[in-house]
Amino acid sequence: MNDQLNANGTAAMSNDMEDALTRHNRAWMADGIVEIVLGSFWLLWGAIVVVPAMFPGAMTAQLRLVLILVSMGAMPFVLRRAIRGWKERVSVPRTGYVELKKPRSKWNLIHIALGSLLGYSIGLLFSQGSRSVAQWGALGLGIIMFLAMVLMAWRIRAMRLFALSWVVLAAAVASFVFNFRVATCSGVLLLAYAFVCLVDGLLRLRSYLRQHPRPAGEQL
Amino acid sequence: MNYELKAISGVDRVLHEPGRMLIAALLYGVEGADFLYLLNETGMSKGNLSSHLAKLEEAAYAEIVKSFKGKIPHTLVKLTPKGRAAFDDYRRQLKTITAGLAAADVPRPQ
Repeated sequence: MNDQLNANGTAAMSNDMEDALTRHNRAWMADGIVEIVLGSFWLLWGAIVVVPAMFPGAMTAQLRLVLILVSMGAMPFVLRRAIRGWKERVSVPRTGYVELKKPRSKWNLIHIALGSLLGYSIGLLFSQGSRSVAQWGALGLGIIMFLAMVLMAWRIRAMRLFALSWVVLAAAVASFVFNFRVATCSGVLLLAYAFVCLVDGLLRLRSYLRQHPRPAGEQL
Repeated sequence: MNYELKAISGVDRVLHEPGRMLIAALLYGVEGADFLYLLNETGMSKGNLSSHLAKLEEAAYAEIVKSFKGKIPHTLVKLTPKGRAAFDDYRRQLKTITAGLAAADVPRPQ
């Protein structure tokens, strides 16, 4: 075998290895369960924000605050329980179990703090016009959510998620252009995000179940 | 012997087998994975996968935990710190070799 063939062969092996290193991201998302559970939470938050904005008498401010605080407090616990419980019933018997590395919470908090600071600074920068800081902030949040979805779509090589993520950007831009109130802007954004997560998650779950019929009496 | 050739001869023999390299790469990014996951992702037969896992365990690169979930046996596989370090070294060596061979740019014999 000559040197060029050697070089190409080793490079191909190296590429396969790099692909295998990130395989767990795709495997974790393949059944759509994470998206469905997350989408349900976004839907709940969107409803909590939008309902009082559209129907002023439907919910008192105190009730809304309580609902937001309770759902935010319960989110990490419920998310973990719901995702793990559902995966153990649906995907573990079919395609096996993979335990992801625990996220480094300190870095996550730093990223959230920096993102918020950046969003607020951008809002302040543009607040000289006819729109408020919060409206610019909502647009910025929409763009960040869109970019997060595009990044996720690229990571798990999901063309449909990439296509659907434009709904979030369209919702953010439309809310801004039509000068919606801040609460309506945020609610529309959350509902758009929930819609994309739920639609993509359900379609993904359907195709996963078709591709992987449950084996009988297999070793886990 | 030049630097790249030394790198080739120093490659870890346990990991320099496509099956074991694939298993190590799949386990590197995660805390652990079960037998069924590895079986699905590698496309190996059960016997082949078991044999590769036994070699990784023998080299202390992988830890295999067997348990029961209800009445069904469950095998969880994790890379050990030694296995992670060996895989890091192996990746580095592979990149060095690839870069060295690409830089050599020897023409294909006619």
